[in-house]
Amino acid sequence: MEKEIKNRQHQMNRRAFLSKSSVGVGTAALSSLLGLNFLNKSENGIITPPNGGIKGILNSPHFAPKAKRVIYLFQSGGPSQLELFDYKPTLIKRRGEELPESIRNGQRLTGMTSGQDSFPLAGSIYNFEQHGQNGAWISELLPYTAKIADELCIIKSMHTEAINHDPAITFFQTGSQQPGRPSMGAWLSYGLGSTNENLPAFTVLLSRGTGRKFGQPLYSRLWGNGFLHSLHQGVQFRSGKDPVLYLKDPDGIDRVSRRKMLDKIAELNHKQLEEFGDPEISSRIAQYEMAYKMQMSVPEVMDTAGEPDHIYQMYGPESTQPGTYAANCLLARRLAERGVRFIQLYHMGWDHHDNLPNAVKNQARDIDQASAALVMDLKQRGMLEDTLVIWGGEFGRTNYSQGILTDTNYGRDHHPRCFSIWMAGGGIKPGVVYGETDEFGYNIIENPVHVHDFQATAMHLLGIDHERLTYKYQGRRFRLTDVHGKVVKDILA
Amino acid sequence: MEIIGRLHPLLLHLPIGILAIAFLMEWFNRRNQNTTFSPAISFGLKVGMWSAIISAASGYILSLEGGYDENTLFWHQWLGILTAVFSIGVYYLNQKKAHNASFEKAYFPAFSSTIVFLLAAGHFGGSLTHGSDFLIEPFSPTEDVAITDLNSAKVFESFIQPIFKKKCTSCHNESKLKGDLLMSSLIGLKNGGKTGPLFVAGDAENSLMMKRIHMPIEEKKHMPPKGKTQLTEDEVLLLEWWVSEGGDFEKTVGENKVPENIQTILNKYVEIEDVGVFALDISSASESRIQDLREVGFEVYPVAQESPFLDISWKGNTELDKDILKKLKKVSEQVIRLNLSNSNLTDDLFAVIKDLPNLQKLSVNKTEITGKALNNLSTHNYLEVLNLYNTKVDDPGIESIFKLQRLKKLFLWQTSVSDSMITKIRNERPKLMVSAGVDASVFGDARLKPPLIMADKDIFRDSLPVELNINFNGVEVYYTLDGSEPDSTSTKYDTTIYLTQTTNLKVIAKKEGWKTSEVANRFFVHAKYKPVNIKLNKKPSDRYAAEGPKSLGDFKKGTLAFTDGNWVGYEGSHFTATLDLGKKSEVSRVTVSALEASASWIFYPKGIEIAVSENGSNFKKVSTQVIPTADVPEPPELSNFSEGFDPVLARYVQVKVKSNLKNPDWHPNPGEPCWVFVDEILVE
Repeated sequence: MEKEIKNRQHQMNRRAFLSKSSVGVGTAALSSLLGLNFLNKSENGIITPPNGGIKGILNSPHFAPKAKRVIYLFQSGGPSQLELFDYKPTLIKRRGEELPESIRNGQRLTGMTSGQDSFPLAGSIYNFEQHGQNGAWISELLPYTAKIADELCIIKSMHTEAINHDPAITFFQTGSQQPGRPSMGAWLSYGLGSTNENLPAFTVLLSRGTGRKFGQPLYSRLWGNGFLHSLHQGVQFRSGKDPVLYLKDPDGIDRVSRRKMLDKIAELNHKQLEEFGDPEISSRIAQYEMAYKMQMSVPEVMDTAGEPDHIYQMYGPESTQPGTYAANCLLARRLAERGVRFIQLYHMGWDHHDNLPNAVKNQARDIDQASAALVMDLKQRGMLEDTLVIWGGEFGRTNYSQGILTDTNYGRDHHPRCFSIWMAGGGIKPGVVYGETDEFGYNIIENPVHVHDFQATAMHLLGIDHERLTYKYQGRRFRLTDVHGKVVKDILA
Repeated sequence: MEIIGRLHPLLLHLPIGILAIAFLMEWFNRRNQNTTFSPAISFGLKVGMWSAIISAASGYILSLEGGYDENTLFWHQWLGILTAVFSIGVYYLNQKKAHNASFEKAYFPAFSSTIVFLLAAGHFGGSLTHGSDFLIEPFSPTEDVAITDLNSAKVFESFIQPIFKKKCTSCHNESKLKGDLLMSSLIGLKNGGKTGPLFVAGDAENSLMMKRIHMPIEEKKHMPPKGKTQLTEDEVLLLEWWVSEGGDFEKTVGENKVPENIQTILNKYVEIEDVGVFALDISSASESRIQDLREVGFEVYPVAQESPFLDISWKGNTELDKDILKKLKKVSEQVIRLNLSNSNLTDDLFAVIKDLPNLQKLSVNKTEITGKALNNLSTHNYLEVLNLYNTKVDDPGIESIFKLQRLKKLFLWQTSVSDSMITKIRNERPKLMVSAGVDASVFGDARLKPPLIMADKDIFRDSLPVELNINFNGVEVYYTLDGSEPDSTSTKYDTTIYLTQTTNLKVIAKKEGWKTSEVANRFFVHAKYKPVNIKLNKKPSDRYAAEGPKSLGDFKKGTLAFTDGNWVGYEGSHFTATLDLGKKSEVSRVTVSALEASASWIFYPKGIEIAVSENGSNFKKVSTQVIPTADVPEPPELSNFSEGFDPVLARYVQVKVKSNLKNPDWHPNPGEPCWVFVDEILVE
């Protein structure tokens, strides 16, 4: 029996050798032809230097990067652009009139309004004013954001393909509506690796909004690694005693005995690695090491007690309450300072199908001061230079009311054809409003930006050619932008 | 020896040619199923074999000289050796295949492999000498060349041709050829079009092109035609200048006379095109030097693929010292971005910067340096970003930055640099962005949140402890118990408050430098009496009957979820509850706790009437309360409607709860019957 097992192992080895050597020469020649350079990388894109950090598949970015890291303030649920950034006097003037069919033009609706007999235009009840040197229209709901208008690039012409939450968020994060592809942060971890060997390259922070307390949940696959190696998945940091689940040593185990245990396991793993050469084993070793280091580094970064009062004043009083959006913004800055590559926040509760005026007001209050504070705090530290901050949701909301429109109340359904986001820092042209929607706020009339374009642009700022960061899986090369995406050159500084 | 190595580029063509022709002949034989070329193949293989061996050997000798990209060299070398080895094998098989069937089988695949290896080795060899992008270069889009030095820039290529490209060639190109004029090639420009030559060298006034450009835009012959993108004023001046200087295609700016107005225009081009340090042509640092830096604790990577420039950051795992920093001098030309922030860097250690002339971005924030350190910054012509935040840099020290001509961004938050100095810098260098922290006006009006009022319940019988919680050091909390608005003259909170009577607790939070919080309040009801029996004048809705009438006096509060079983609900009708206190008691206050959830058609009562009686039949009205109906939708909430009155002796308390009966006009379903929900009626 033992003989058979040995034989089988040899066979496997031979097969592995042949497939590797035959593909090897081909890929080597091809990669050199294409100007790629992944000859000295292991196959799954992880190189695990002895110190345990994550090294990216690209030794260095494709071109000199403008941004070294990203803070993505994801507004989950679909914030209403018509209450925040997209000022539409026509909608206010024609409040209550029917949405002309020539404008809707066959756009599919969700099940929530497709049965509605009437689509009354719903102008916002909130006032807009022009702010900053370029006169960007910003709603009274965002007084702090308005004050930093000169730092922002507001894109009013985003559009997406999905019309419901989960596919739409999945599309934004992974470039595909179907689950299973790696999230943006995972792609960056894979491409560029981590600059801090004590923290993961991709971290995630969640908060619930006050606008709609029991909105859609989020699934951890949104920050998953897809087919990339699990080392690249987002690590969720929670508020409370256990910021990262399962990280703490159990009672009675101290760091010395933990160290000894890890050393012993690593020894066994190394033996196994020598025998089989399976790269999964070496990444497992690296993950254990990373977890060990995070036992020290995570409590340090999560402890905001040492932040001075004027910083709390910037981020607002909620920043003293762990788990709030404001507290997460403060944490995001701390993670950025420590070299975390991709920091993803999610703020839930933007899905305002009914009772919108009230809900959006609360929700805007949640995010306004802290988002603005984050941008300005990064700026005064000289970090906005190389940090890309993104604020935005998965789609917009309709210009007509879901349910009855009254003087003080209305709702809005999902709207994929246009919505607004903003970006700041990291090579983005500041003080710009990009793109324009029609007078009804329904369709884009100038400079549309597709989700894939947005992704391509973000990658570009990080020094990555989105067409050249790929991963071969199931016989096909995948990339974040699928087979689409154009860098939006107009908004680059 | 070296000579043999240097012969490699010559020798290597022999195996390529010979083995290739042998292979072609072999192929020919197989295709025609004969042996016409067999002797020639045999000979070819022999010569090919020897030439391959010699090429490989000479290549190896050449490689010893070094200077090649290691990665590509590795593949070229081993593929070359593989080719040599295989060619020996193929020659052997060729000689023996007649006598051995398996040799015969292996022969052609082996031959083919040899050719594959040969081509691959050749490709990598080409990459070594010509650069890896040589092959695909013709397919890569060429970009306009950046102008680094104005005097040596060619006038036509750098300034004139781009104008033609932008504004003219969309009509005057090979496929469109309007007016028989071709402007996308030199010949076309020299030949002119249907109406004649494009320009008269040295005479702008009489040049056709300039005449057309100067025509009024309404004229049909005006160029570019109406509707197309017009030339800018600068562009017109440049064209005019170029024609009057002779319309030459090769001359540089320096070789022409440059009037002042043209100089200003040209300068604009240089400013836009200034690529700073990237204009330098330097070679890459050796892998071993980079490795050296990594080992002592630097993070090092090229700013981009194939770029010699390095981005270096100190990881901060250990203390910085002179020996560590000295290693930076080994890459003094290459390092352009240096981050030593968050470290023990001192003035003394900072001196190393003097030897790093090409720095483009320097971050030394959060270090121990003072203004003196900056004296080392003088020759740094490429420095664009300097981060000094959180250092002891002072006014005299910061003067050094005036020497830095390219400086674009300067970070001075939390330094000793004075406001007047910052103003001076801003005045003298208007294009330099100086960051000195966020302007107080941006976040100065930040408002505190009121503290959380923490208590186990809202209804109590004897007394109730209440705590006020705020998770923020240095905040002072003030409160009132009598319903008045609290301010800093109100009672200051320091320890648990004990309530003994029905109280509307109002609290605020105050802190130096912050706006005082909004008022938060919570209503606590002292329920002195627990009724022994409660009668309702009509049955509540079956779905919202709680546990019968007694639920109204069980001190169990309902929640915002109106289906939680604590609520008594009536649809479209008023109701009256009569409470029996068991014995004659002194009554002075009645509180009705109700729910409003307009989206669920539930509204607060419209009014509450209270009457008391000693015997249960003769009731005396003691209070009437009118409650305004909500006029805008609000999220669901609870409220206590509490009315005090002069104390009376009574055993029975009758509470008439008036419903709004119908949804108000603003409601999505106006006029439909609405609900009234009550969970407790409390008597004090």
